[in-house]
Amino acid sequence: MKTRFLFPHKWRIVGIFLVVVAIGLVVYNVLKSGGIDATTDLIGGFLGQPISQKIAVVLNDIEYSSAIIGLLLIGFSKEKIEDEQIAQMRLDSLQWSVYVNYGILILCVILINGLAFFSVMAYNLLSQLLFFIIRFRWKLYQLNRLAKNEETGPLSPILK
Amino acid sequence: MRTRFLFPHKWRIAGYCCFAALLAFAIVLKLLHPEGYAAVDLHPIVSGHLIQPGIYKGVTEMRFHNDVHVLLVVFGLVFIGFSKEKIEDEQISQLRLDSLQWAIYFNYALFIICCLFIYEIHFIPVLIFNIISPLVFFIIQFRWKIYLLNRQLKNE
Repeated sequence: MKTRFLFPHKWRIVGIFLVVVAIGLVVYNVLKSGGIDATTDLIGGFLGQPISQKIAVVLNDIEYSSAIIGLLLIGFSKEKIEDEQIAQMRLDSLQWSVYVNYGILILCVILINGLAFFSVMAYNLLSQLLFFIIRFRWKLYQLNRLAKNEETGPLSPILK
Repeated sequence: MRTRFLFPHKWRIAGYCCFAALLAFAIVLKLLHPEGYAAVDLHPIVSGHLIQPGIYKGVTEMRFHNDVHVLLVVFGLVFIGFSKEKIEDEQISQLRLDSLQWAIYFNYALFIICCLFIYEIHFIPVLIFNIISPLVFFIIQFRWKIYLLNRQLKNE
């Protein structure tokens, strides 16, 4: 009863690298106050765009893709020791993140209307993976702490 | 090694009821407003004018209707996808979680493809469908896996 379709452990480094690339691109766009110019005429299609706009579109694609692939690799690469408990924890966290994500989405649907909802949808792309990774890491941290306490607990001076 | 946080089996009917309500709601709206809402709402926003008092009532009404639509769809899908099976054993819960993971992979793969080939204003429908697509893919995959399992059992 193992989790299938997981990436090898080492791919997590690739994932972290991709997320760093995505964050770097976001920072670059904010500093340049650039990004895609939504006002340009789109009738010419991609090839008809000026070169700066082409670069912005390609950068935007890279930003999204690397953020998503990076988060997927971080979330779904194997742990060093992938046992049944960890697999269970991963899938529990995944389900939990689906619930939390849709819970927050429902709140946003009720409270946010109009054009502001576009940013909700944009964040909604990544939020599920983010919640999953945070919750999974947190559970792993708790498990590790528990294991460490069991090892050293009886010997610690306070308990003696 | 059970899946926790599941709804009772009967709540799946509630999920289907959500979709029935959605359908009824859509039919009523179509009868009340045959011309649709889009022309009322988007024009003042796009042209940058303040919303005129006459149109405002229509806009508020439309926002309320939008909320109801999205809520019904999301609640319906969550209830259908995450209510217990009649016999919820270890194999089923494993199938469920495997399908969920598969759906996440599939959804993001599809999204990346959309991201590369669709841009600007055409990207907005992608964003909208992306809200419910993981749940839809999950439900389809899960039901398919259960169908395969049942057929296999029958053959044996």
